Amino acid sequence: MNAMVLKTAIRALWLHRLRSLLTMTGIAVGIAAVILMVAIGTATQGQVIAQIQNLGANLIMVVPGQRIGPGGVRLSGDSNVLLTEEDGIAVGLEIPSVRAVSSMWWGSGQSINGNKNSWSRMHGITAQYLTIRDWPLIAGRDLSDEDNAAVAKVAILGQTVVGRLFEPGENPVGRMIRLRNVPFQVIGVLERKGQSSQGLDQDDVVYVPLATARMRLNNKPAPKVQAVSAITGKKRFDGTGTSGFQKVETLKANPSVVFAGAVNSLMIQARDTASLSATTAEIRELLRQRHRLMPDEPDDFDVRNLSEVAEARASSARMLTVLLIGIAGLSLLIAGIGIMNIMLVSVTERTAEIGLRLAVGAGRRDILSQFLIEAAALALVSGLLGVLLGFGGILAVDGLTEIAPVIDPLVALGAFLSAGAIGVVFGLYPAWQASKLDPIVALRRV
Amino acid sequence: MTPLLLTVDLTKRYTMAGQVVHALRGVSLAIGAGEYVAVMGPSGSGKSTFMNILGCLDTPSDGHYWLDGAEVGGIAESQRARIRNGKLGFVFQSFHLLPTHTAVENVELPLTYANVGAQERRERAMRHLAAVGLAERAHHRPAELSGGQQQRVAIARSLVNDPRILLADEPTGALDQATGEEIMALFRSLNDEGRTIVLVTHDSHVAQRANRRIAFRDGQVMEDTGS
Repeated sequence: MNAMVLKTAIRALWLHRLRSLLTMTGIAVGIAAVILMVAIGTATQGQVIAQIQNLGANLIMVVPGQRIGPGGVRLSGDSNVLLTEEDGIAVGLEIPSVRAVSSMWWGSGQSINGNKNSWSRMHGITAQYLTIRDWPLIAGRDLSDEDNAAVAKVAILGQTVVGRLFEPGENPVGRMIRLRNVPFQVIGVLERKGQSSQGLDQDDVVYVPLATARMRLNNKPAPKVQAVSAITGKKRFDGTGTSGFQKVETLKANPSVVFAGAVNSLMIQARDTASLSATTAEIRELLRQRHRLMPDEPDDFDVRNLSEVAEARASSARMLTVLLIGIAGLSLLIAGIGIMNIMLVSVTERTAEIGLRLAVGAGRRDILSQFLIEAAALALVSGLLGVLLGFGGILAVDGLTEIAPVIDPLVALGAFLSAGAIGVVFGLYPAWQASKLDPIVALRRV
Repeated sequence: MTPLLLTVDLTKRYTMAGQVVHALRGVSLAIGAGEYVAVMGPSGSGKSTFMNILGCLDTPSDGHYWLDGAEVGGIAESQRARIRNGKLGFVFQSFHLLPTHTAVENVELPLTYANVGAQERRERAMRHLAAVGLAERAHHRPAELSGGQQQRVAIARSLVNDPRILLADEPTGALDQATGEEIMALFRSLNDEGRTIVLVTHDSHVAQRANRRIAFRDGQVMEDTGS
């Protein structure tokens, strides 16, 4: 019997091919839109998540604040001596929710190997920096506290720098290069990281121990006063024997040179995402204490929750996805109304047929299921078309844009089944109408 | 012997536009197995209402109707559907064939609602088509058949479930004289084989072919002749 009902449904749909096709187009487009939007949304979110992971997890960055000079002029944060390596050590020691801290000195300069050279960022870092950035080495070893303590002339190279200084296939580890004309030994090579979310080539970088950077790569005159060792905190005398007068002159020209512990940033990793904002607040409190700021004074530093920024982007991507899927869903709703409309027309046209079926012994339920099956068949065929159309759309988006949407068979199955569900839901009312017909009235129609 | 069909004081009232219409005003009739009855009367006489109640398509307002020994006047729609399917066969003036179905599929239709298997359905339908002389037209659609052929398909359909009674409503009304004669001859031979037939008609020529004639007027039986 079911085979006959299905056959009847298909024949009825075939009899009004154009009408069926137009109705089907609505559903197919709706289903295709849902599949495509889910795929694009997933791909976009994936990109954002990849960006977050590229940055490193649960990151907080502290940079010196803008100093307000005479007349309210804001001066560059770099011109301050407001953040020191000791601040970084204190954050690591005193705030339990902080997993690791690395102090950073920012610079840039020329590196040379034989007749090859590169102009790159040259950053001084303390030992845990690469761990915090979740940035593995592909060769050699990481910087250690001992490198910093010994002010060792060792360097870790990013892939871009390796490409400029060495022949393909050459192993840079152990080789001597010159950074700003100072010989350094390459101890490690970093994995390729790619562009940052701001478009910066993250691989165009040389990392050296913080203490070494300060001592050897500073283009400003070497520290003329007692330097404070980053790790030991012991004072060392560099023995250049400058007078007090010169000291004051240097201070005026370049304050960061004088205060040897000054750093350009602290890179801090919190233990977990949940406590990120609490950790941010604690860092701020600690630094205010250390900097002896009065309650009415503004911060002389900036605490930036990097993961929060990325998270905000991820959530806006999610929102956009939900919105797109919502619009696609709306088109499905409209398609469903189209099915209802066409089924109501069909019931009206086939009143005599319904009357006859009732006369020869069809029950109300038989009539109901006949029209429901017809609506579901219409919707399922449309759903299948929609899935194919959606896949086509995904391939087109994949080929024409930078977004790489992925075909998810589960989403396709879900969309296909929801097409069937739409058929049943929107076919229910017309089918119910058909089943309620009075056979006497229905038979009078020819 | 109890009659196959028995109605006692059958009444039917409609409310139409606030006015009560008495379609049947107490009809008591008995029709035995093997009878061939023509029901006549002008429009509005109540004959159609009477036929609808006999066909279990409608229910009486009052009174009783026994079919094959069982009271069926006041039963639920689902049970009436079962009785229509198992005990009654319908032939209509306008044939009422499904245009998308072939002749044999049309004949099979009542069997699909009786949950008969596909193979048996086809066999029985072919047998009944052969009995009305249309075996070779079995796979044609109604549009490819003449009016008389279509009505013969409809008759085959009404007989396929082997009903106790054949109810025909103006079966020759849409046919020309000669084709109408053929159909009436078919009814004659069906009755000769023992089939009980109740037939509604305006046409006194057609009515003359029946063994018994019942005339309706104003919702009551005016004349009951023959038998």
